[in-house]
Amino acid sequence: MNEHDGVWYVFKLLFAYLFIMRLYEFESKALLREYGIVTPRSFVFSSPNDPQMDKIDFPFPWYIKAQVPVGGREKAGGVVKVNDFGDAKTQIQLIFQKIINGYPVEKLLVEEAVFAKKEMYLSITIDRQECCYSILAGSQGGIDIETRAAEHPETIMRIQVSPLREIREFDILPISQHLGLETELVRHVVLAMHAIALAFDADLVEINPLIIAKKGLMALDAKIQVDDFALFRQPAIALLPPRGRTKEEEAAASLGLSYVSLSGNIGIICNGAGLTMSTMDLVKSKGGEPANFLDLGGGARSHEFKKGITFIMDNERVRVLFINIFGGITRCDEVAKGLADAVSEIGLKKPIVVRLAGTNENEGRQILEGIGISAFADSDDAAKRAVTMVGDRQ
Amino acid sequence: MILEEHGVLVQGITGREGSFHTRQMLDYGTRVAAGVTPGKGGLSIEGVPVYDTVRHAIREQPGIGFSVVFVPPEHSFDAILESIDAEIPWIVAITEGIPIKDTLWLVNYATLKGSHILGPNCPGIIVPGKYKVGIMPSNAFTKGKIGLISRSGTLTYEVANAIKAEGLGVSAAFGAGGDSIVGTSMLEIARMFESDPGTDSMVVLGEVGGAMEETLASAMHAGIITKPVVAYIAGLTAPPGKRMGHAGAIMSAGSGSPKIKLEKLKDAGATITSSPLQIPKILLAMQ
Repeated sequence: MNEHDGVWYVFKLLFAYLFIMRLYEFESKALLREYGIVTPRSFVFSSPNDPQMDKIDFPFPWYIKAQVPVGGREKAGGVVKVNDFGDAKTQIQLIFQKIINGYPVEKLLVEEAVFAKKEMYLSITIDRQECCYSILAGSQGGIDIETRAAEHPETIMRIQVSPLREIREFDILPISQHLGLETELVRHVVLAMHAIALAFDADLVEINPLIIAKKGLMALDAKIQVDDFALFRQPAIALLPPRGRTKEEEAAASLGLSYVSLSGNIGIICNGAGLTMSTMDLVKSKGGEPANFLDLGGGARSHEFKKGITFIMDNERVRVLFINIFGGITRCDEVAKGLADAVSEIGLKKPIVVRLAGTNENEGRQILEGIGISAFADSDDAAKRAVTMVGDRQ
Repeated sequence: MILEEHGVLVQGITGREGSFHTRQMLDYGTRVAAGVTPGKGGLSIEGVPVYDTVRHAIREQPGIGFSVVFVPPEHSFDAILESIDAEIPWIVAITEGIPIKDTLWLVNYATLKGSHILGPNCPGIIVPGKYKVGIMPSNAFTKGKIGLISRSGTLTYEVANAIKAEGLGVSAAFGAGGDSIVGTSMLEIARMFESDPGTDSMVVLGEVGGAMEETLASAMHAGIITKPVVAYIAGLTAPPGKRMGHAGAIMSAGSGSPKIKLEKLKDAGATITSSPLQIPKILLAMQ
């Protein structure tokens, strides 16, 4: 995998724990094949003029499928059927230029079109409520599986498997009966999917649709999602280029920030995920629009605040910066010091509203007064102020 | 008291966090009886004897009822497993970043063996005026009759502090943890408060993702939880499919929506609020 070489990828790996590792369809299918599940013949293209075009040895029609880390690509025009060479070339060019649900197409899958009378659904996922693995088997798969499951719940069967045990014959039998398939075929696929979930720390292994092909079952599309907390022991997955993030999130990630970009104009910095979410909600309730989620975590030091503050200040979308801190393990003087450092380095580019409470609150206030910022004690008042300031600047 | 005080074992006591919070817990009056770090047996941290294994620690220091885990994610599985097998009743997992597969297995195994896991990725337990097993900033909490149940650390401190400012106090605060799979659900904590004579009402601080708040609402409907509940859910503005800092804070197709959580809790009789800082005022009005 020469494309994964180089310092850049090693660098990315360090911060990979911040993202949800959703494998692309072609990566998911490669894993399935490794575990003996059949998929259609295909080639992965990295550019519109990929030389592999000449190597394709299966007949038309083909499917050209955009590889993006989001669902709903069919509806966004990311999957196209082609019937001849010229058609294929045109569509490949077109799809590479597309942005599918916010994500540019960097790779696509050229795949033989396989047709089936019946499309089914099969997945293994972690059930948060029941604290176990859940196997979901749908007698009617394909796109819109969520809607179908809601409208016709009887088509979906769920089998729960404790993580303390293996999948046994009594788990397999009802699934094969529900799908109307031979136990032999179902056993092979279900055991392989479970093995993938365990071996790769996957919290989702999904085949949709699953079809009956000439030599058994075949996975026409697949989705595997790996737990990002497990990347330290999944070197092969950790080395894959990160995905599922906006450009902004990618930049934040490279700085090691726990960041989500939103569409508004009030930049938000807090300590602790709960407080950050709560601050977003607070801003919204005062009529403002949060530009981001940035949680600097409990116990962050001044240089981390400086880094976060500088990052948000540089964001063109942000008109006002709102820093809401409740010091527990985090010390307010560290926050203030980070802010003062950021301001002395890049200047007071944008208005800043600060709310400080908790550990070393007074020390923090003193530092901020030194740079002409008076901190609020109440987050409600501070949020109101931040929202009014955006209005003033428009 | 909701949970009787027992000796505390600190796993990962020689690390930066472990030793720092050992000092903090001791200062609060917690009986930290032993620490474990493999290979560091024989040392003493803040006057607390360190052992190589949990078995050795409990043999030397009887009466341990809690283990608090500061061990890094790569070693947390073994650390928690060791405490489950040593039959320690409560294992408080502070560590953030434990693979979900490990937590999933451990939570099921602990249930079989009769241990409770609190967390992972949680701030622990504090019983104001008595003890704390965790990392909460002590000065935010005063003694009182309100039970605090939360999925977030900082939000817990914020609300506890606001409760204190209004002259009220907390019987105990439990951080359930921010991960997708946690060992002790909000409902299990609520049941402890329900049967605790020292608790008059409960504050629930939930967030986007999962269905723990919905399960709690169902139990309120069914009359299992009868004490008054004030609830706040963070993440109303969280976009679907995005993970908001906590591993567990993600809204996926058809589940985890904060709006639905609030509706269900309200239907079940909880007083809901859109601002966590309003909680003390609501509690005052209830008095």
